[in-house]
Amino acid sequence: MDREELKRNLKEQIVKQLNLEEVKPESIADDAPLFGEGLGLDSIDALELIVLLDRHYGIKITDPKDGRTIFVSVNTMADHILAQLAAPK
Amino acid sequence: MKILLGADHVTGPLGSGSTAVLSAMLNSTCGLRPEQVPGGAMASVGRAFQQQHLDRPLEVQLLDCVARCRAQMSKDIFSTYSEHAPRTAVILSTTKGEIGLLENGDVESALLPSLAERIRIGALLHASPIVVSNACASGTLAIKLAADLIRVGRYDHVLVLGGDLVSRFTLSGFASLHALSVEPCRPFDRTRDGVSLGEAVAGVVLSNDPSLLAEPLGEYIAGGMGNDANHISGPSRTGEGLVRAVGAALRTSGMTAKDIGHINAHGTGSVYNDRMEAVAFGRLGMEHVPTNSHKGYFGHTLGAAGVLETILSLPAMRHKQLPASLGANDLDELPPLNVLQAIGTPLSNTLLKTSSGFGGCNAAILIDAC
Amino acid sequence: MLNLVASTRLTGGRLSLNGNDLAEGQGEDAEMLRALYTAVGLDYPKFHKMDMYARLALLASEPLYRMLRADGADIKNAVGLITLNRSGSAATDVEHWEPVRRGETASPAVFVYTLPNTGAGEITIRHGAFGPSICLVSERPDCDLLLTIADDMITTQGMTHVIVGWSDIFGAPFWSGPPTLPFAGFALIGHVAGTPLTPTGLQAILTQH
Repeated sequence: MDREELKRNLKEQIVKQLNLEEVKPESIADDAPLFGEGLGLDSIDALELIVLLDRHYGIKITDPKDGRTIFVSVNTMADHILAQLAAPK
Repeated sequence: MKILLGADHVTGPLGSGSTAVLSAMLNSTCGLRPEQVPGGAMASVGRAFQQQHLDRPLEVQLLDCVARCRAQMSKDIFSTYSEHAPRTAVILSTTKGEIGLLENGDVESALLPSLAERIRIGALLHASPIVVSNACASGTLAIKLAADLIRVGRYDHVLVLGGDLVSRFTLSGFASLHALSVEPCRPFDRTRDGVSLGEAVAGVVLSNDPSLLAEPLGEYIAGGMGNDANHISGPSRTGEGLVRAVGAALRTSGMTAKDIGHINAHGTGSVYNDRMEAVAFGRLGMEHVPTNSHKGYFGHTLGAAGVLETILSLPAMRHKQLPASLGANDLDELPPLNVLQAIGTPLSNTLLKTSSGFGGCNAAILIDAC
Repeated sequence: MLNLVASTRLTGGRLSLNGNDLAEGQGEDAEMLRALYTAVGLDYPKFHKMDMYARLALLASEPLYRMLRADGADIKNAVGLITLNRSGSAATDVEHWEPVRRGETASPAVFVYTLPNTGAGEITIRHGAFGPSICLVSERPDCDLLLTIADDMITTQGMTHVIVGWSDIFGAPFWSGPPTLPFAGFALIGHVAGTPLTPTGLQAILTQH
């Protein structure tokens, strides 16, 4: 999967899944923090991102704590997805 | 005016009747069993009729509970044929009601007013039960509302009913929140990692006529409510809503932290709820009061919880045998609470019962055990 | 004696305060509520994350809280809330259940709204209201009971005002009842100056005509 295309898709999926009505996908910087300052996401959003990875990429996260390193930014999410998709089943 | 509680009944994972259930708790019996929940994960769940492998509709369980409460009263005042009927009410505390009907596609019949109306017809009540649905604070709030309505003279007798099913609907939701504990939940334990859901119904009569209740459980003193105004599903870090709820109850009663003999906390076993409660009870100067959670025995019974746990706490206080907080083996000490790790004795006969729920609502009641 | 200070109604896509139109929104539920959000000048991104029922309750109560704030009322400590409806969170319940029924993962952001008191929860969060709140679910509002509860909140629990509101989402595809639009009616009541409020008067605010 092309990394740039993946990041574009991810931004659209994040905005849609998290109902970020007033955020334009292209305005999210690749390395901008998703939590705290950045988009102001909360704990439920973090759980919703787990659902996003499952629904769109078939990637399962069983421990929500893993989300802390995976959902830092669009970049880290893309890294995780590419690593998981490349990993032998 | 004295408002007494009595003529109670409970049914849940540890059986039927408050004497039997309390005795099972004092023997450290846990009614939670592992099962696979929607989504594939394992979780400990408290089924009400697991030995019979039965799924009973909530309506059937509630009607049975109403009948058993009424049978303990010297007069059947709740019947629509009774001259007392206009002075009575039933308050139903539930979060999801007959949710199995929605799972089967019958959304209209699953609505809470529809369940309430079926209870009215089935129990020959004077009017449809008033449905209180303040998430997991519903049960404690329902008892407070019942007492308030008697105090202001609107009713003389109120039957408070609490009930919720263990359903695929609820299990799948809590699983999606990663909120379910695989092992039986461990409220106030350092290693607690989530809630266990349980199924129960509970009923108790509040009345201003002592002659109606042969063996009263307690005398209602005061109650309070407060909001966290913080987050729709996450508890407040400061425990603000709970502090306000307990504070309001204390102010109304003229009591202080020193008067409290026992706290039956909400204690769900979730990391954040239990910490929130510890912060709140610390702010209230109640860290010394013998405190337990019943949820390690039969799980979080949602809309039933406040009613069920109040009913079980009062005879425990009367017999000066407070059940240990099951699962609290290695106490979380930050912040410290006097969590009972073995059977304990109350400091006085005043119970503080609290419940907190989604939406940030908190309820607290003070009851003197008889 | 309880007085009516002000009331709002949201029906047919129109939001009114004391009978005067404030804003109008067209379209399906989500679209209409979005239009009203803009029309009343709300700047609260969390609004879009709520379910339709919470959005409806938040919008319909907004003018009353604005009025309280303008009047210097102690919203933090002294304004109680009673919310009511008939269908609870049924529309969101169905939204949560559909994927689970198909064997898919449930959405946590949907599940947290599958409770009837989330409208009250969102209102108290938005306005920083720490006072008491009760959520009742009934076929129709029992206005005599509601006034009793409101009066008690004021008389014995130190509230200056109580907001009582009915809000329900109708017209969802599953709905087998009469095809009505989302409706909300909210009353701001207190022992302060205003028009004396009777159960019949409250009934007229809380029900669709």
